[in-house]
Amino acid sequence: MKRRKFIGISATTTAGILLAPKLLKAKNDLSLIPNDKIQSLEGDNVLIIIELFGGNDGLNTIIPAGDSEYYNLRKGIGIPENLAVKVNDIYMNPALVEGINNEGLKRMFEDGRLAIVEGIGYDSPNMSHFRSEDIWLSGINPKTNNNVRLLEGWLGRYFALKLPNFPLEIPEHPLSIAIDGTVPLLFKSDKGHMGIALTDPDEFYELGKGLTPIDPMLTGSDYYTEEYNFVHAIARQSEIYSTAVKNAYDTGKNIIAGNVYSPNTLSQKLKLVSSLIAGGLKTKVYYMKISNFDSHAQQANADFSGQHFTLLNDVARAITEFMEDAALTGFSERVTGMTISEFGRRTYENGSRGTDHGAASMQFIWGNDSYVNGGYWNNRPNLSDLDINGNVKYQTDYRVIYTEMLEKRFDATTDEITQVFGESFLPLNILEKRTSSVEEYLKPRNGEFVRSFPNPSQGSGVVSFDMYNPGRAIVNIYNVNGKEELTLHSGYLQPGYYEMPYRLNKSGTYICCVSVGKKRYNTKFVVIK
Amino acid sequence: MKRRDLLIKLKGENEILSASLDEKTDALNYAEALHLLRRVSFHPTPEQVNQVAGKTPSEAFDTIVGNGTEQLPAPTPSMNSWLNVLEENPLENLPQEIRAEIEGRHRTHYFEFVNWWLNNMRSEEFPSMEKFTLFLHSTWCTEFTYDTLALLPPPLLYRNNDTLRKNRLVDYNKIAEAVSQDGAMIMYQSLFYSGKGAPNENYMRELMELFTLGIGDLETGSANYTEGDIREGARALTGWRTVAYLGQNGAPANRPFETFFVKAQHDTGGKKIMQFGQIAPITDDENTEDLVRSKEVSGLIDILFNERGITVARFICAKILRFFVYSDPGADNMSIINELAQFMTANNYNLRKVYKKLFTSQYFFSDEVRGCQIKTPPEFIIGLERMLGVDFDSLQQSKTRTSVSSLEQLLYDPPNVGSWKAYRTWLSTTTYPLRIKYAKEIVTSLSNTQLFDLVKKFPEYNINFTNLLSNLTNYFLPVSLSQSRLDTFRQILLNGMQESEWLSGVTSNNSSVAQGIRLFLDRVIVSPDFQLC
Repeated sequence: MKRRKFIGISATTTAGILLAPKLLKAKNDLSLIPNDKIQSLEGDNVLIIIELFGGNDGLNTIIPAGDSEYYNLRKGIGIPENLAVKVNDIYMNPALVEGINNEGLKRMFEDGRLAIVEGIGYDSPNMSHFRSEDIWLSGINPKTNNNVRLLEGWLGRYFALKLPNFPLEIPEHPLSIAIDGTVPLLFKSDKGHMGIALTDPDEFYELGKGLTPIDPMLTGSDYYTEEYNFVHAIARQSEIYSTAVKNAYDTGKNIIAGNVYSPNTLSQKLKLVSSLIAGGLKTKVYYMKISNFDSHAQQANADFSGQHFTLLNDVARAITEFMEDAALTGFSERVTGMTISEFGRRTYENGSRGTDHGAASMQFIWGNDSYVNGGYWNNRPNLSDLDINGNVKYQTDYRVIYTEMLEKRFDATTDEITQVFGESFLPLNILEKRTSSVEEYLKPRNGEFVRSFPNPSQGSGVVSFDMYNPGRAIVNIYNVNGKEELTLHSGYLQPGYYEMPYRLNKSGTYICCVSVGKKRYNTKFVVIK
Repeated sequence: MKRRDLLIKLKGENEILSASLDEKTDALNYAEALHLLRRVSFHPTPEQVNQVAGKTPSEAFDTIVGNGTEQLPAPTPSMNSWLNVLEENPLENLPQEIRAEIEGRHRTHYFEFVNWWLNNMRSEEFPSMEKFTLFLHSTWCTEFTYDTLALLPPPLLYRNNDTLRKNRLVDYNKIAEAVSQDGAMIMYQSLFYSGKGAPNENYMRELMELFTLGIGDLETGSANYTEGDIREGARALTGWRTVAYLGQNGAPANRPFETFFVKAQHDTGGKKIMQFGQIAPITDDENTEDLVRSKEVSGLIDILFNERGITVARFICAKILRFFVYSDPGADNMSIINELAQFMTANNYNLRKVYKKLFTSQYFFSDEVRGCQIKTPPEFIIGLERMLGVDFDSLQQSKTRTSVSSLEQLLYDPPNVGSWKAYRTWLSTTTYPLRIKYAKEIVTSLSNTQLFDLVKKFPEYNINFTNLLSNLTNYFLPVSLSQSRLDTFRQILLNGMQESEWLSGVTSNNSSVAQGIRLFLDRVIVSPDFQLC
């Protein structure tokens, strides 16, 4: 489905305009599905999302120390090369290292457990905190159309696909948990919330205690019965989840290496997450938010301490402590973390030792070195080629990273990715998949699974591949931002040799990707017009 | 053709719904009176039910809803101290401390305003105007803000609320005219920035998409308007500003928070909207506030209603049905929507007439739509306060606001211009436990005296236990209970006593009776149907 069409439909149905026949028909008992019996979610992977709200200053997080333009633009707050921490060939803000056990993110980067992805953003960047945050959490980029309402999260939509009978059939444990007061947009779907929010398991337990209705569900299919049973299901779910969370917490808090955590808020939130994981909760996603990144003024003092330093230091400390605990407690292989932030900041500083709202920025992704390809991804931000607002241009669409998470951790297919985002994206391969074996569908010819001829081409050419096992294949051409440009094929293919012509109008580097089952095969080619 | 005949033709005789919009003429019984009152107010007091039961639906409607010209609730003295006071724009380059002070005051005033509205909901007697006002706020929503692109200070929100309240029962096109000139909307939907040569399309799009037409046809989904209609309409709405802050460029003196017209910013060229809609070009002499208001603002709205009258009516009637009757009406209620829409166009889009048609209909009182609405946060919190006769002092009023806010419907703070998503989104594993927690707190706060006072409002409370039990369960829960649930509630309320013992105990304020009432309420609030109305 094309993106525009997808958004159109979504906007229509969320506005509640179409009066469709109701899908959910009467069913008069709540049933529980063990989380590891939900299709695609059988594994024990856990995703941690830390939102840096306010807009993190990427240029003062990973310092472009070799770029004189950086110091021209930031005469007051540019971090001097001799203060930055050099790791391999990048320069980190010292806040990522100083005062943190095991040298913080420096060591994680050296060990290959931390990926720094530069140039993450999207087309027509929006500079409102709230709108851009919604764009990030929903996984929908409406570009300049401010009227598209973003009411569902990308994880909410994906999990909703996996739970066709929600809320009368619910996972035994919540699929996602926000360590926060309210359920974030990220977990919302048209079926309801695909997750819960809590800050204190004991309080959550107290609130949920005794909520299971004493009277049974009703039978019938009239409106009253359907709504009565919906409330009944939510009430029971509240008690089931509050009990599951409390049980896991009580077990887990005594297992983990709790003494590695500092008293900072974010560290304590991750300590709670660790207890829940160690205690056996089968939740797939944990989300938390740290605010105050909106550094319009005094983001750095004359000695480069200050607000931004403190925040980065808190984030780096929390991540480091959590991964140390994860290694000691024994679940580090299962976890993958990422930071998100609604935007980076303006390349040039303003008059108050701060920076205004920006666009593209950098992201941290971390985990166990067997499953994360640590290192520096993408090119350095180009400070001589800015957008009209003086902001860094993006290199990779933010949903490329989400696609990577959904495919490599939650077993999503290209079809499902398209259902979630309205279009498909090509992962960068920052993550390795944690599965024993994946069936092969293509066989190589001269060592290549997919070929593109001629290469370079003048805009038209042919991609070819040998199908070895039959299956549903999607053949897409992506641009360098990871965004879909063309779909050459989408449908079932028998074994055999295939050639598919393409036509592209713009010069550039492209990637052709054949996705079959849960496997992707890529080839890169160049168009010169 | 009558709806029933049409349906028979379309669906065959066996398929048609049992109830229609034909008038129900017989008197309302206790449960029917409750049903009507729950849907048009934030739950009736026991006295209000007694007042309405026994009337015909038509008489009941007139009593409850009034005629729309009644006196409106007055602002509090504290609100009067800031309703006309302009502040500097905190978005402009002010020293941080000054900016923080202004924002702090705006926030305090905003909360005072919300408390005031919630208090009106809690204390209203007939006519019930708050639910109808909230319907308009939920449709034409605006949002308190000072930190994004728009500045909406509380005096503008108060004026917006006043506009909606005054217009709650008028012709729908008159509401469109009034809100198109409302200061809060002018700020919220960027009309404030819309000028000649640079029309802002934000409001024009929402006017059609959210407030009048809907994006596409209710059944086929085909588009109701074009991008060209948005561009042309936006030009007709150029030039309007509102006095929103102190020192505002070009703002007339002594007209705080009023809407004004900037002649130089109005596009005087002709506009063509939809198939037959034309706004003729105007001369410089005609480019005046009054003429542009009537020829272009009202003129534009007339075009929408003339060109797409039935579309507007269907869209608004569907909204009314969702808000007041059932949030997920489904395709099987399309015929009711169509019939109501036909009635609406035949009656100048008059909301009072539409409401009266709906709230006196056989359809509205049919079993099909009884007890099937999930209570909104104010319906839940305010409703419980009204049921129990809780009278809050000013300190507790902010507790009502924070509760409603935690339950995710802080008034004048919708998630976005599309308003609250409503329906099942009100309930989650976060909000449901909070609802129960707040309800328990309210019940626990009641003294034994308050519990006796409550029961004594019901007829024959010390004479006939079975009738009392039936009235109490009907009062607190939306649909009559099965015999087995009724028996359970009977045992709980009796609290181990004989009926005769209980009846004499309630007269003498026996504490075991009070305990029985308390246990009864504890059980009511954890029943799933307590979330419904």
